[in-house]
Amino acid sequence: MLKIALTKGRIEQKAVELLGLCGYDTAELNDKGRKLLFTCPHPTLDELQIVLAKANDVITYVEHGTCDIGIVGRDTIMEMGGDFYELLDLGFGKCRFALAGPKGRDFHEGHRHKVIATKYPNVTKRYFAGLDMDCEIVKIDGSVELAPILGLSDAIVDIVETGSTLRENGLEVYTDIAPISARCIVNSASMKLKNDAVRDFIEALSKQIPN
Amino acid sequence: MDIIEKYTPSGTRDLIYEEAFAEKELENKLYRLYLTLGYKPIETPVLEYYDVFNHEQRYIPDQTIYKFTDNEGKLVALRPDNTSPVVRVALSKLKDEALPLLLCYSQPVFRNNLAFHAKRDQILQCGVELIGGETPETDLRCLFTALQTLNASGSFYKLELGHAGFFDALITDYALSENEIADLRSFISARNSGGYAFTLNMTNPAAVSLARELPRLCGSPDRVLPRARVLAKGRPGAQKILDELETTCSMLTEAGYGTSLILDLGIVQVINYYTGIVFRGYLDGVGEAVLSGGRYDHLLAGFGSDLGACGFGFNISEAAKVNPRQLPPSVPLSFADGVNSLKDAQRVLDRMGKED
Repeated sequence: MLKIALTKGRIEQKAVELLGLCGYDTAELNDKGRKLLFTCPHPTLDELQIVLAKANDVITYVEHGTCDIGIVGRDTIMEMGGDFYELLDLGFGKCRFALAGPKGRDFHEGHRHKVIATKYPNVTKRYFAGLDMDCEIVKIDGSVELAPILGLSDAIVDIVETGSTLRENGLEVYTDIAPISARCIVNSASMKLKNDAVRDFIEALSKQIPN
Repeated sequence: MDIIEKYTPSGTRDLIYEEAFAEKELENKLYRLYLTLGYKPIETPVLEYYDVFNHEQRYIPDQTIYKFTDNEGKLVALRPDNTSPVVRVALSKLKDEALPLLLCYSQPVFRNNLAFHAKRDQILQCGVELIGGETPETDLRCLFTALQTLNASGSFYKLELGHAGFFDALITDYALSENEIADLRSFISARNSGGYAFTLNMTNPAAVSLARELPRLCGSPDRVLPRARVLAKGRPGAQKILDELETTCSMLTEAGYGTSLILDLGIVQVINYYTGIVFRGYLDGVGEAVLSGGRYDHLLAGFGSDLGACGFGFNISEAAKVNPRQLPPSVPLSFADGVNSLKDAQRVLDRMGKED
């Protein structure tokens, strides 16, 4: 049996569809109620036990080996880091990390110390370190777009899908930082101790993912 | 007066009754095992000069080392690892001893981890270091000791084998710049350490396909070796490494450890620490490697020696946790009857001594 941590919400929906395509019986997941733990049998492969969790927790569970496999966005992986294998790009949940700010402004103009608001301080720190720039990073939990509007920051680093939230608030993307999509991660010990089961699962998934 | 803190700092813990016993029992068992296998014990101080760990092959992240100054203003560290101190002793106090030196140790290491990650700052680590022996023979002895160590801990286990030189031997004729090699290295190793690499900006088709193929070379030796042979075609260095690994695997298989072996040729190190065979051990119930080791000749070069060495460290603290032990029954002794009680107690102990 493999234990899988699945990120709740949009990724969950697509992932459950994908598991269905692979031949897993996802009936329990389609009728959840208040349960947090689900079983997905398969006619030939090991059955899956699935937990639904928030993105950060998916990484925590996989890193500690309480779950063998996790399905989580690359944004969270890049922010949290950690020791695990990242084996598969699942191809859905596509968006990107971008630097954005008030429309029409030249972000890099002048030598003034810049303030950046973000939910992803580690990604932001690494990005600016790569540019040999040090800037002030302010961690925001809710709508990051508010920060430059209210004058708290010069720009934001956030995930952008279509860019419509930015446009509606008078902001625009300055630079794309990195592409994001849902990934399949594997605990490093499970990769060895349950090598056959993990490989079968990954192969089943990759057959259903268009290149 | 302030109330004294009644709890321990983040990352540390008290071990009470069964937990304390389980750790000590496993430690004793392994210590005996190493002595039986011909290793000699050494102990080093908890405090070392920071420079002992601050060499070119800095395999321990600097921010995780507990450091402070001594009364001369010199930087000292709570030892974050046992290998460097053991090598320090081997190359100084033991430099005139006959080679190879087979050394074993069991003592805690300290790491300053981030809070709230359930990581331990103090770990009881035992292990062996084999210094100055012939390569295949010493590696085999070390691997056998590692397998015995995993076996002694009483859980289902796997030993993963790789080679630090395989990646370099594959890319010899790729005509990549040093920066590109560094990028490729961190891209492939990021597969094992969670997404630090952004994207691989590389046009060399051979490098791109290597980045895809290498991390997949992980599984039982009979499955992985044929595929690795395809990659190694026309590259004698890589072929030689595969020959060595194949010989090692088949010897260990013949000795009955076949089902416990996993080959992982996707091990690519970003820090130039290991120089030959690398291996890690996993126990059912522990989500990370409990044993980790390999051949590390560069480290000795950093200490000014041209000797080769290999060894491993084993995390007793984590291994003991998955094998809880009951305390053994004690002998009821009463001390109510003054000097007679003492004589009674002595008689009981003498009788037990004879039974041993």
